[in-house]
Amino acid sequence: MQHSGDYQLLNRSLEFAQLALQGPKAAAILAPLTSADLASLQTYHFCESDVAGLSMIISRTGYTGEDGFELYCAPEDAEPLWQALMDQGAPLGLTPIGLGARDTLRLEKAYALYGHELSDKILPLEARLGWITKLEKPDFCGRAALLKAKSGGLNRQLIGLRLTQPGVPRERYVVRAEGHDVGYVTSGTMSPSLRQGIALVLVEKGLALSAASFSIVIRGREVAAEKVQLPFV
Amino acid sequence: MDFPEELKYTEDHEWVLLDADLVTIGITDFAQDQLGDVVFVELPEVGARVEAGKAFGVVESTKAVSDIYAPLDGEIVEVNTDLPDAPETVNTSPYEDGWMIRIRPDGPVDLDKLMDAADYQDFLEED
Repeated sequence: MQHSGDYQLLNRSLEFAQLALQGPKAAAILAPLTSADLASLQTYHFCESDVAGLSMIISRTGYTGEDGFELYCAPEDAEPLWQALMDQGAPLGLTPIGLGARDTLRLEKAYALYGHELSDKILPLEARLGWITKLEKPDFCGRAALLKAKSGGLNRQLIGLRLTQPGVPRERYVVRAEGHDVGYVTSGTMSPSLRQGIALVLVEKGLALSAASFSIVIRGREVAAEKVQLPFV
Repeated sequence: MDFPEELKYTEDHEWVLLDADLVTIGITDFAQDQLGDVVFVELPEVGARVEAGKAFGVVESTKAVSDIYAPLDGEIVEVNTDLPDAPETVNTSPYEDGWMIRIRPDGPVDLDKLMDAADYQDFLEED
């Protein structure tokens, strides 16, 4: 716990459980269960309300690239909330998914995930996150390092590759441009929507930006890939 | 889950069918279920040699990459060429349309060291 002036920082993580209700029918499933006015709850906004008679935070957020809600409730309310959502949503096709499925969705949308596209070894400016890196703010942890890196010119960039041959790119696989090693895969998968291998790759600038041909090395074999606009889907 | 009586099973979750002097190999219903949706299958060419205990191919789902092991020494005489274009067949028909390779074993085949259907189910329960 840290005190600073009139503020107190508390870690209340253990007081909350979270379920994410995601997909184009999320609002239709949630609306009958809550007194909140979902139509006026915009993306990235939240409200304190109730679902199935349980009090919780309803946040119109998620990491799937679809409309949806993240519901924050007391840990003991998670099970009745789950049951209420499944009962309400089953006729509309609601089904549980795990993090493996969620990962394909966020990757198709090229959303960065910590430990993959982001780490203490990768700058947010390299990871296509300049839009939320507010260097004009007075100071924050890492600002000096970011300014220095920016003035010196960034060496690496995160780009998207799509395999043009069968295969599944996976994290840490080597990326080649015109035969030269230029970087590695930060996240890769077989895109269920495209039915092709897709990968976010962190590459050295230079050849990787001008190259006409790319490949990803899968079990010692070069599999052809092409640079594509992000998001993938 | 289905484990046909006429097949033999390995601890690496392959099934083996001896038919005349040829042996057909695939992965079990348990293996495909554990992998989830199979999205990629890589198999060797006809004429290639396989060696007992060595990987001869790869099957990948979204979640995992898994080697497929040969249960005995031999030469590949036939490969299921439909699989690379339709890897999901491994999920829908692991014992029939999802077969992977057919080999001609080097010598007399002794499948007794492999598990029968009942042994394999016991093995899965222990695991």
